[in-house]
Amino acid sequence: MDAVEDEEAPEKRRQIIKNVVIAVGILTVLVFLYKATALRGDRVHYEWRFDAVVKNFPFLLQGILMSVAVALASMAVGLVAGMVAALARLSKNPWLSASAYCYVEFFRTTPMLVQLVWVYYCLPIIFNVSFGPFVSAIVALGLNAGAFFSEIFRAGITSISKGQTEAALALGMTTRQAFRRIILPQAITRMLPPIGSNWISLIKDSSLVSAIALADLMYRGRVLASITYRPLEILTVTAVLYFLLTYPQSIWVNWLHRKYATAD
Amino acid sequence: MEPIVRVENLHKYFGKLHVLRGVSLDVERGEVVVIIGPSGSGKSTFLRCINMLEKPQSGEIYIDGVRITDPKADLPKIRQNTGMVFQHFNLFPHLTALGNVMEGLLTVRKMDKGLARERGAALLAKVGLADKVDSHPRNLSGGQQQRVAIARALAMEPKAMLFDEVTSALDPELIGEVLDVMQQLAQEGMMMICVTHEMHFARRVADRVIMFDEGVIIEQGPPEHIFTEATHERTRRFLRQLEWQGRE
Repeated sequence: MDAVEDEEAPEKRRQIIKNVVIAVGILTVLVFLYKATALRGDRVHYEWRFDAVVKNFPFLLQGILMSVAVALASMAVGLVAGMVAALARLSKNPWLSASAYCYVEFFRTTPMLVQLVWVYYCLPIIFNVSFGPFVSAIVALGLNAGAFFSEIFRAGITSISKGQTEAALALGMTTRQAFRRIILPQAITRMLPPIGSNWISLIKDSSLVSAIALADLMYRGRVLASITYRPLEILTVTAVLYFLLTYPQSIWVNWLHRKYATAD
Repeated sequence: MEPIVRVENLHKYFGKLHVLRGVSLDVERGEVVVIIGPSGSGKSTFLRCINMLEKPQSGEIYIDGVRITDPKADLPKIRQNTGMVFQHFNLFPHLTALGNVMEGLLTVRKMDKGLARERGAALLAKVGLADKVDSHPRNLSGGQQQRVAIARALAMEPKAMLFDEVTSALDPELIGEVLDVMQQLAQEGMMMICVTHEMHFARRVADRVIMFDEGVIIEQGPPEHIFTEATHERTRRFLRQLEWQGRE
């Protein structure tokens, strides 16, 4: 017991020190923000007034609903697109595999904002349909996520050793049965940690849809900041709201990483 | 009687490497054939051609009269005739021992779950692992895992069992339990083709020993003949080199 306690004591001390440093850091930043704006010598003071935030808080909060909806819908599209692309890439058919390769490379290398704006303005012209910003958002974000997911799926599937497939085939399974019963269940546990990380990125990247006037949290923040002339309060609260949205997610994603770390 | 496995003039290339250079072999029902030879001689490749895990470039293979080298052959169906046990076990880690043994019955034979469970439990008892039915492979020793692998292959009631260096990856003290099971299978009349370095096993259990070298069968015959009065110098040299491992 003594040996274990000896190992734990310095670790606990390290944790406490880390938490103290973080708290001090946050306090320092807040104090700096306040001082920097409140005490500017001969220049005009900026007074922090949160009444504008309080009055418009419901309006801001509704943005969260939209941000989450965009993230969830894009995630769904991305998972489907990713699985289709991964299977296409792994297939023996050169057409399928080459098309999937082009899709993945294009969406991984061009900026997401560019994809979003292009889908919103150009797809309606090409296909002679009009769809609103929400549909454009989930198409662009979904296809983008799909490109990254397809690489995660592909890596997960190919990481399962060849011997597993051989054993399944030797029993008389078809390749499809072997994939469904033996490869996929094992691959899924390996894919979960990177998918979790991608989910968090998706929530953050959903803020881009403000660029095509979709009323998410970011958009509403910017609108409020300009009509109330209180950018510091409004945008700081917006940033804090995004933090509160993503930080709890990162806690369970870290749990995913710990639980499903590849330990072969 | 028609041999269960008939191989005619098999050629296999890996790129430019000519691994099998015209191998022909017939194995009868109930026969136990042990294949020996230096590494790189093509013995494992040959074994893996028998259930078409490797596809030969030319030559014919017949399992129980069916030409499996036919491009239109229904391989999944044909593979049910042969069971294979691998050097690195290849158990399915996400299933228990019983789950592994049942898997073929459930997925391929579409057997009722209760019946599959019964058969699976009986087979695990047969290989001495009745108390390990609910264990996962990661909680089993190498010898235990290999015995589960044997039970898994037997579940499909194959006409022939293919053993690919099944004890090469085991710690020495675990080899015996696997060889015991294999000997029992042989005594029960199962047709077996074993690629192995276990010479004591070959001497005791084999009906025929086949010596592979550089992609061809250079010699074959009853174990007593091969081990005491082999005709070919290369066979004698190979067996002499195994003296250091005490395997001769």
